Amino acid sequence: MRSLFCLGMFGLSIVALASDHNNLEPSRPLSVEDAYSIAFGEREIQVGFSALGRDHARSQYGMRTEFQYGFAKNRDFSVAFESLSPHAPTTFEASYFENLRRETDRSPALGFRLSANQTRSQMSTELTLAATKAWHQYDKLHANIGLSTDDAPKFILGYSSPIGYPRRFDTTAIGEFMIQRGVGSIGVGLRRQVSVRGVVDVGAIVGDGRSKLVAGYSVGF
Amino acid sequence: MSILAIVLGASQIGLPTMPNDLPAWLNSNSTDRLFYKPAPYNWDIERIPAFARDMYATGVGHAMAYEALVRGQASSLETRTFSTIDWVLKHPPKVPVDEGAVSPTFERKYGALEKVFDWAHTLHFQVIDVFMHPGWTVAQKEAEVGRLWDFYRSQPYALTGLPMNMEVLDNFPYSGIFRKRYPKVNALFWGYHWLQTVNYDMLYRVAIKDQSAQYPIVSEQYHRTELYNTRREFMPMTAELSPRFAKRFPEIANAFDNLHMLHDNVNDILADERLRESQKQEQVKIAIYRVLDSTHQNERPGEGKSLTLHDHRFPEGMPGMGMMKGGNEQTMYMTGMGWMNMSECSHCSIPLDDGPRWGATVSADGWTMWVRCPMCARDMASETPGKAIIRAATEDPDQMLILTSDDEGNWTSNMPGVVFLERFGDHPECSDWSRAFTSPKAFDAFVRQHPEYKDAKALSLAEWSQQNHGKPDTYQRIDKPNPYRGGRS
Repeated sequence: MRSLFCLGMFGLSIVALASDHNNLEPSRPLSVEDAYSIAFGEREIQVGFSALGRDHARSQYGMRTEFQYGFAKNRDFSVAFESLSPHAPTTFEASYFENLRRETDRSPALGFRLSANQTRSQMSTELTLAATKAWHQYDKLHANIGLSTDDAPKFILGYSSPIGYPRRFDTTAIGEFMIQRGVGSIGVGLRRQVSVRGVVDVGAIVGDGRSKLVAGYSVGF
Repeated sequence: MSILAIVLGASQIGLPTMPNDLPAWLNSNSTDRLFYKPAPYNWDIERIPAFARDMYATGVGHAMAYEALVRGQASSLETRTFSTIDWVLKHPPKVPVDEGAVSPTFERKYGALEKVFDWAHTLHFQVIDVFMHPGWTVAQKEAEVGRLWDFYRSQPYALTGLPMNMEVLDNFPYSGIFRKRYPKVNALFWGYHWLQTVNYDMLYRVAIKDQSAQYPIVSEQYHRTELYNTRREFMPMTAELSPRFAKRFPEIANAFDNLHMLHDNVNDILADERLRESQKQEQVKIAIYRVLDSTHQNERPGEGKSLTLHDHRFPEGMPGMGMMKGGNEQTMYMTGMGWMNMSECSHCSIPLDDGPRWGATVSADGWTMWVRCPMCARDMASETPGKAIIRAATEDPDQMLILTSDDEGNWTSNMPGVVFLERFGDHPECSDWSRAFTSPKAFDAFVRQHPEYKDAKALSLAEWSQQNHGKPDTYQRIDKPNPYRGGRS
């Protein structure tokens, strides 16, 4: 936990340098992600906090810290720690993302993520396929399919739209509908550029008797 | 215009043809986003917030215009799109804007071009950041700018740093269409390029505290005049606006000019109604190819056959500039100033000195001129109404004199103790008898070493400002017709 705190403080200390509100990253703030990797050579730290409420159960609070690195063109890897309190073990996640192609008039942008999660002695792997396509002029549709070794397939349809065009260029609104094991949830969120490369995000997800509030900060350098 | 007319028109206009060695990435659908070179100076542009915001806004304007062109909204470019861009320029964003997000349709169709633009814009910003980084010496900054150039060239999207013949690059069947048909939006584009190139002499070798003091004058010229200047005959060139920077970093200055010429080519291609979309996409790739670093491998500045794609000659004294329309190694035409010789003082026509006694530059009414001495700078500035900036060498190579004037010609100095030597004599020696010193002590030390000036008085700024020797008799006006206006001068 101490190491997580140190990593989080490091992220806050380089507030002047990073990230972009247009790019959708998993958990920042919703589950949906776009089909693009971070830029080649970019490093990004994301810190997020969440509050999880369930019907007839105590609320839980979580913290997620992630480091991403664009180690090659169209490819990045990331490592993340997520802890939930009380009574939940810390999860460690490592993942590789690859953007296969950009969007053109004929086809959407495509990418995939391979990730491994470890919680105590349990390990799972997941393949996520991501597609992004323009909708009208500035809005975008995102489709994610998640195939996990220890859970049912997950389908997410996401929608992002810049707010304020053509006068402001710093905020993106996001919505998503996710379905897994036949149960749906919806989420809404916002990403706002607050400095040259720093982005603040907030979001809320409800469904399946649960509600989750998320807030985070991303900085690239 | 009917499809038949478009097809017939395009086949008859002699478009450039696709080269055999087009780099494969120009046809690739990969995304290839690149991050800037990690360094402590990144985003130091924000030390002058108004400058940073104006620079962020330039990207928005480009993107909006391109988006309108590819979405079939050309008819409202001079009205609705212009107004929208103008609003943004008057209310610039506080953070950098992802141009691709503002022009998503354009990016889908011209993704390879966006890579070239983004990478060159990254170089633009990082060079600025280096110059605005506090705590580094001039030598450290110059070395880092050299490393930035190497970093830039390491990617296939890099533009050549060789001087290119601008007459050749602006002489295709589509050339000039955009500026004729959309003069107001073209003025905005050239206004952005003015700001993107004028800033380097504002920053290069200038102390951090003195950089911000110049920006109000630069900003006023940009917002009041340059963005709306539809009388300019050709795009602003880096060496016209930042001659000291262009001479010291010719490859970067040339790359910026080649970038801006590529912008003009793309504007013209997109605005040419004779071309089908597939032809536009092909012509944009050819336009990119022409100015890529990879296209000019093993070629050298100063060499190449005249008036060809591989003509890398440059005007005497200015390696950071390609040949201009109608010009030769001795003379070039500059909007607002007429014909000039870049190796000579713009005021007295005597050859410029090199090295630490580089003289001075004068910026006024949107132009910047290199002169031999502070006197030439002052007298030249007095010929032009409005505010002006003089940047002049002193006896200390690490301290540059920055003088800014108000509309009445009252000068303010960045050096409270500045004094001047001015013992008027023959102009061929003006850089000997007209000098600026950081302090009276420095003046005295100079006089001790040069007894021929033992009777000279150290002029204060107020005393020096009152002097004016008018147009020197050595000045030689180059009397040739304006190459952009069918022979009219």
